[in-house]
Amino acid sequence: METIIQKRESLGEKLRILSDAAKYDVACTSSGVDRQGSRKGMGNCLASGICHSFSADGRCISLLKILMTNECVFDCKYCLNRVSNDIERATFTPEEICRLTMEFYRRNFIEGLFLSSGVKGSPDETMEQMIKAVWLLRNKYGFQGYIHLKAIPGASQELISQAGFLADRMSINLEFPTAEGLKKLAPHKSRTTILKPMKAIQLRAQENKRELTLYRHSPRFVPAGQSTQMIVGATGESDYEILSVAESLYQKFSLKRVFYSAFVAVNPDRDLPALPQGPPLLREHRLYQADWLLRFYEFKASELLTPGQPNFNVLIDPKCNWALNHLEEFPVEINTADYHTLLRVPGIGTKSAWRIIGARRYGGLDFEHLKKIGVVLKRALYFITCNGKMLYSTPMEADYILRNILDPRDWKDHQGRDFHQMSFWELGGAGRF
Amino acid sequence: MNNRQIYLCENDLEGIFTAVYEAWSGKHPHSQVEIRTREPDNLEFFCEYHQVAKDEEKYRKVDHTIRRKLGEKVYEEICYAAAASEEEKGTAIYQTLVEGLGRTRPNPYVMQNLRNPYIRTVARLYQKVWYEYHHMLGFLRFREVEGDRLVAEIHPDSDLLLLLAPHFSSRFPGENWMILDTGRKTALLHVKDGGIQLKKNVVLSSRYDRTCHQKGEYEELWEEFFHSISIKERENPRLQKQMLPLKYRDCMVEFQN
Repeated sequence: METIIQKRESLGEKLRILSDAAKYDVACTSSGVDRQGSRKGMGNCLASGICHSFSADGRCISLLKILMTNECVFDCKYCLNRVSNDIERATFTPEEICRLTMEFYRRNFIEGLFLSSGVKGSPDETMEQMIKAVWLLRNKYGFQGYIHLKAIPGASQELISQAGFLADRMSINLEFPTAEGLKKLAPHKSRTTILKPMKAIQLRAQENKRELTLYRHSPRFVPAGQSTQMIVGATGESDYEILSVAESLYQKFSLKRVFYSAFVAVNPDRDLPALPQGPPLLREHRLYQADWLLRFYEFKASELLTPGQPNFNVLIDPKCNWALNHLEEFPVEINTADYHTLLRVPGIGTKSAWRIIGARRYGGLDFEHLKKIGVVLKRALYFITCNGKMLYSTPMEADYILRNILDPRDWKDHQGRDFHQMSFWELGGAGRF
Repeated sequence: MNNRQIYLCENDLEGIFTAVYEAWSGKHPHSQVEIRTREPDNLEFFCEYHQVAKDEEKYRKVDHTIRRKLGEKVYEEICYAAAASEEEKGTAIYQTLVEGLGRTRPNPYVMQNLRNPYIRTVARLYQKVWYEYHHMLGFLRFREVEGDRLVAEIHPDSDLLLLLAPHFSSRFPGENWMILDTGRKTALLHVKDGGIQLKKNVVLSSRYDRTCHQKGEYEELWEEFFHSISIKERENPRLQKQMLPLKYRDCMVEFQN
């Protein structure tokens, strides 16, 4: 009896330590692959992904996000698990990982497993252990849910290729947008050890696509694609640099997602910023919005930002920011503009753009229709016309639009950084009062 | 002879489709027809009331016609809308079908016509039910009773059980599980490696009652995980509430304290 209690405690302890150590990894999505369950095993996948809970920080919990071990031979300055930190260390056995995943999955707590690891021994040894756990899960336990596997920087191509046939998604963290940042803060990693496996995964996935067209039932290699993560605000890089890196990752490495993680200071270090106001969450949010614009709204990084204006105005979203700098493209006529033009209007998303296109086949649309279709008129009204008329006769002036779009609570924070600073008397003339 | 024609039917897909069949074959002007799934509190003037009993064959005919002439996507939107708790759904579905099928030729793109208020209602209800359905896929929790059975209790606004069935049978084919809608007292029963069925008037026996069971080992491990995965520096209860509304939480084990 006593030994059982002892054992249970230790699994709980391990789970606490190894999930705590994994929490700074942001990717917790379970999207990108559709898979029906089969009679034999347990589990299926939905391309949209499913969120199973939300933790106190408001982030989605979709996967059992754990490290295999938090022992690590690397000494990355930003990382809680670096070798020079004196913290509790623990290691899961492959069987323990399987048991937790299966039992959590059965109760519908999770959508699958997110397995990362500190580097114990060598990158290859670590990768082998991770593969062993995932292999057991797939083959002994018949698990068909979602698996996101981290590739360990420096692991051999052969191992990464093996892992890719077991996982739905793989990722390697780029960590920092610039090579200098990486060199300074992660002395054991280099651009090559990160980008080489990333390229290898991309090439293998392309090859797999050709195999699949020939043999429909051949095994699939990372069917949900590859992702990566960058830390925001630990080194001095600008939004423009970050976004340009993300754009080239999407184009050159065919990544599915790039995640941004506001830097959380876990280690005091003279090379790291102190951040007394907490992590740069708003900046992270704006980067995600801009990332969406790259992936779904046909924007280029160089349209959103320029070397001359390398950072977003955190008070307004990147699309508004772009629109205010390109007033010559507005107003847009809702009843005639094409999809691509509609997408660029603040307050119109992909869904409402499609709805506008579909609905106007049945007759002209007015502002009342737009409101019911789901267009955010609060933002859109400055940029659109319906049958040649604007909703109110608002002027096409960046200053005017900006101060009307801004939440009045933010006015005091708005330093007039990008636009002309308002005086009190000018404000008095605005339509809002 | 311009009385409104009100068809009263049972509150599920079969009931509504039977009423659609009856109303259509009644040959009234379409604009006079209403379908209601609840007995009216007061009878109104200038209305003719028709009670409609479920009829499997009529239901199948309507079902088949929608799928064949308007396509699976429109069919899906109508089925989801029919699961909504809003009373307006019956008439909105009928009038949407009039738009889609009542013209010279069927229009599979009928759902795009968002200028029409009835179609807009169906589209809105579809979205609402779909969100709740999709939330439930993640937020529903099974607990283990008597070793090898899994029980989940939910109380959604919409009638979700039949919509949830395909997902969970595909996910857990080798388990005995049950999902109980405590509000409607209906349950979905799945037998290991077997079929699935919907039962009415189900009440959970007291020995399965959640309150008299202690949390199991994995429930406690899950709670541990749930707390340790959150980043303290980023804590944001408002965001959490926005993403995971309170109404879902009383069935979720990690919020039971």
